[in-house]
Amino acid sequence: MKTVLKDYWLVWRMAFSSRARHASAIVFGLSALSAIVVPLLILLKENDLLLAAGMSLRMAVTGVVLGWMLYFVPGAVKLNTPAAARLVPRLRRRLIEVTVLVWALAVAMATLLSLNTKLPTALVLLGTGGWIAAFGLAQSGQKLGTWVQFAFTGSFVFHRHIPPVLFEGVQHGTGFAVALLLMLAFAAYALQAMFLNGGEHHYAAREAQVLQIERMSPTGQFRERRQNRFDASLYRWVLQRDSAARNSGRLLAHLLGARNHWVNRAVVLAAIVALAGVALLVMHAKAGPETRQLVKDIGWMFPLPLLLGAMFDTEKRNVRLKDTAAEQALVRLAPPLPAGAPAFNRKVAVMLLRTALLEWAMLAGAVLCVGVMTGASAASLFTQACLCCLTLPLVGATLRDHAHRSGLLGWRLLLGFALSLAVSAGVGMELNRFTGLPPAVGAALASIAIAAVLVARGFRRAETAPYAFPAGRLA
Amino acid sequence: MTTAIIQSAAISKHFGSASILSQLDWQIMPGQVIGLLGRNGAGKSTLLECLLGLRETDSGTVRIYGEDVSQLSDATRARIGYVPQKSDLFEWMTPRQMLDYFRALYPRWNGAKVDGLLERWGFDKLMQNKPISKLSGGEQQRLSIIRALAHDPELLVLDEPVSALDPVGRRDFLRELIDSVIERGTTVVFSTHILSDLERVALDLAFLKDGRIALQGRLDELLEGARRVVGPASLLDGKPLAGELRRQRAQDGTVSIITHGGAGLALLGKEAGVRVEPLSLEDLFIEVTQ
Amino acid sequence: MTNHAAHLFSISTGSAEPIYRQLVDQVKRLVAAGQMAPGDGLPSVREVAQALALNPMTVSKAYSLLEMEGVLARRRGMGMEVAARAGGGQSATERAELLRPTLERAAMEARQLELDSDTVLSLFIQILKEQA
Repeated sequence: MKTVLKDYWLVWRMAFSSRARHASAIVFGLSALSAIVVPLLILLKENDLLLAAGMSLRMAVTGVVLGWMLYFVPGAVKLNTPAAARLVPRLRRRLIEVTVLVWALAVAMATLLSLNTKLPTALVLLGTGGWIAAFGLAQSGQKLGTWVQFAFTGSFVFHRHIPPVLFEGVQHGTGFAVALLLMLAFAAYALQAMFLNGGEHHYAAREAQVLQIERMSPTGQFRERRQNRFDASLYRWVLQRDSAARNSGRLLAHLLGARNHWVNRAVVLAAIVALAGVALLVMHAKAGPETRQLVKDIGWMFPLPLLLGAMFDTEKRNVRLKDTAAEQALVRLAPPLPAGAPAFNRKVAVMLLRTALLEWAMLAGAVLCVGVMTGASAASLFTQACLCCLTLPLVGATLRDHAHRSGLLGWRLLLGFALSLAVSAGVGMELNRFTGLPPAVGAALASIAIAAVLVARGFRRAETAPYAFPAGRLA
Repeated sequence: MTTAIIQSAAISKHFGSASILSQLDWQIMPGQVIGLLGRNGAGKSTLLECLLGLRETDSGTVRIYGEDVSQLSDATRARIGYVPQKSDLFEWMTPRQMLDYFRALYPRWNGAKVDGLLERWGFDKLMQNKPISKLSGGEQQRLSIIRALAHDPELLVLDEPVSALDPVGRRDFLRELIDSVIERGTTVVFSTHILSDLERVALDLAFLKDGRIALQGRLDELLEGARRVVGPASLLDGKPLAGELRRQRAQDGTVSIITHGGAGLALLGKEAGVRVEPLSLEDLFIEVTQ
Repeated sequence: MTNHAAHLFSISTGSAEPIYRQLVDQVKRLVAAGQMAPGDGLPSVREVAQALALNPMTVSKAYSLLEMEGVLARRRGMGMEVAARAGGGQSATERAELLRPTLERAAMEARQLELDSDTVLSLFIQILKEQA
C-alpha cells in the first residue's frame, strides 16, 4: 500500500513539474488558504460550524481538483509518451489511477455536497462526471472534449429551453441507470483517449496534444497553425511579388512569418464585414421597426471590440520576432539592409510601425464599414472614428528595445492600455468642460498624442540600443 | 605581407557569470581553409557569431576586410556567406521561396550553380515545393549550405554544417567545397566535430579552449610535431620538454607528456622504458582540449 | 607510357601520418615496386583532389616534395611524370631505405620485449625463408 501511495505522490509531482516550477506550491497553498480563510469568515458571520466545515471541505477539494484539472492532466498526458506507455507500463497505470481517483473524488464530493441543496443530486452527479471528463479530454488536446464541455455548459445555462421531461427521466430509475452508464462510458473513452498505449494512433495524437498544450502557455498562444490553402497561396503571391521587387523593407517584414502577414488579415476582415452585411440584411427584412431603429441608434457600437484585436497583434508580433532570431541574423548579413545598429534598428522600427498601422487601419476600416451598414448617422460614425483612435497607443507600443526585452508584455500591455484609456477619457471630459468639444474628440486627440509620444520614444531608443535582434542561442 | 581578412583583437564575451571568450586574438588570412575545434559548449558558435558581428562582444574589436564588424558595408556583406548551426530557418517557406527571398537580397546570385546543386543533392521538384519544416534535418542542412554558396562568397563561415548529413552527403559537400570554393581561393572557416573531414580539406587548425585559441597551426605540422612521451617518473620528472602541452601522472607512477615541438625527442626515445608515440588528430584534439 | 588514374592512390584519415606524407610514401612504393614506370604520367592535382576529396594544396605539396626528392619530374605544361632516374635503376640500398620505418618499429618493439639482436635477427631470417 505504501509503495502505491509513494508512486502516486511521485507521479503527481512529475506531472506538475512539467508546468510551472511552483505550481504545486500555488495549488496547495491557495486551496489550503481558502479552506481556512473562507470558513473562518463564514464562522464569524453566520456562526454555523457545520456550514463552515462543509465550506472548508468544499474549498479544499475544489482547490485540489482545479489543480488536478489545470496542471496534472496536461502534464500527465505529456508524460505518457509512446515509449513510456510501452516500456514503463507501471507509469501509465499510475497516471490513469491518479486521474480516475481524483475524478471519482470530485464527483463523490459534488454529489455529497449537493445532498441538502435544491439541485437534483442525480443531475449533479452526471453533470460533474461528464463535464470533468470532457475537460480532461480537452486539456489533452482533443477537440471533442471542448465540444462536450460546451454542450454541458450550454444545457446548464439554457436549461429552461430544454423540455423538463428529459431532466425528470434522467433522475430516476432506468433513465438514471442509462444516463449513468453513458457517462461512465464517456469517461472511460476520455481516459483511453488521454492515455493511449502506443501504436500509430498514439504518435499522431501525441503531436496534436503537444501542440495543444503548448498553445495554452502565454507565448504558445500565438503558435502558428497550419494555414488553409487560400491563405497560403495569398502569402505565396505576396512573397513572390516582394522578392521580385527586391524591396528590402518589405522583405524584412516577411520575418514576421506567413500567418501574420497583413494580407491574410485583410481577407479575414473582409469576410467579417461581408458576414455582418448579410446578417444586417436578414435582420432588416425580418425585424420590426423598433429593432431597426435600435440598430440604427446603437448598432455602430457593436463592432468596436474588434479593435481590441490590436492588443493581440502587438503580442503576436513580439513572440514572432523572438522566435525568428536566427532568421534575423541571416537577414542582417544581407547587403541591402543598412549597416550599423542605429540605422538597422530604425529600419526595423519603421517596418514594425508600418505593419502595425496598416493592421490598425484595416481594423478601424472594418468597424466603420459595419457602422455604415447599420445605417448610423454621420455623428455616430464620427464618434465611432474617434473611439477607434483610442486604440492607437497600442500601435505605438509595438516599438521596443528588442535587444534587451523581446517577448510578451502581458499584463503590462493591458495596464498601459487601461491607463491610456483613462487619461484620454479624463482629457476628453476636461476639454468638453472648457471648450465644449465633444468628449470623444478630446479623448481621440489625447490618444493620438500618447501614441505619438510612444512612437517618438521608441525611435529614440532604437537609435541608442544595440542591434535589434542579437543572435540568441542559435542551436 | 597580406593583411588578414578577419582580424579580432582581445574579444571577450560572457553570459551572466560564465566567461565564454576571454581576450581572444585571432587572425584569418585570405585563402585559408581553417578548422575551428573545441569541446561542446566551448564557445565555437559564439566565437563565429562574434566574428560576424551577430553578437555584441563585451570588449575587443573585430574587423572584416578592414571594416569594423558592427558597420559592415553592403559590398563586404555581399562577400560573406554564413551557414548557422540551426538549419531549419524560414521553415514556413518552401526551398524555392527561401532561395528567391535571398536572391532578392543579394546583388550577385549564381542561379545556375543553385539549380545544379539542388539537382545533384537530391532536391527534386516535389521537395522544392514542400515547406522547409517538413524536410528532414539532413535536407535542411544541405539547403542551408546551398543558400550560403549561392552568391559566390569570398569568405565562407560554417558552423557545424554537416552534423546531420550521412557520409555520402558529407562527401558531396567536401567535393563541392574543393571544386568551386577552394579552387576559387575562398577563405573558409568552419567548425565541426567530424575530424576526418577536417583532415581532408583543412590546411590550418585552431583549438578553442578556456575562451582562447589554445593551439593554432598548419594541420600537417601539428600532426608531424605532436608526440606523446610516456616513461617512468624518475626520468621525466622535472625535465620540461620543448613545446610541452600537458603533463599527466598515471597511477602506476609513469608520466605522460604531450608535446608539439617534435625536436629533441630522438634522444629521449632511445632511453629504456621511454616510449615516444605519434598522435592522430583525434588524440591531439582530446589532449589539447582537456 | 601509361597515364595513371587518380584511383591508384588511397589515403586514410585518423592516422598519425599527415595525408601528404601518405601520398608521398605511396608514390615512392609504387615506383619502387615498378607499378609506375619512368615516363608514366601522373593524374593532375585537381583529379587526385577530386577523387580523394582532398584539398588540392595537400596534393600539390606531396607532388612538390616528390619532385624535390627526384622521384617525379614536371612535364612541360602537362603535369607530373615519373622521373627517369627513379624506377628500375634504383639500387638495393635505396630500396632498403624504404624498409627503414618498418624495421625501426620492429626494433623498438624488440627493445621493449628486451630481446637481444641475435635472437631478433635469426627470427627475421627464418620469416624471410618462410615467405620466399
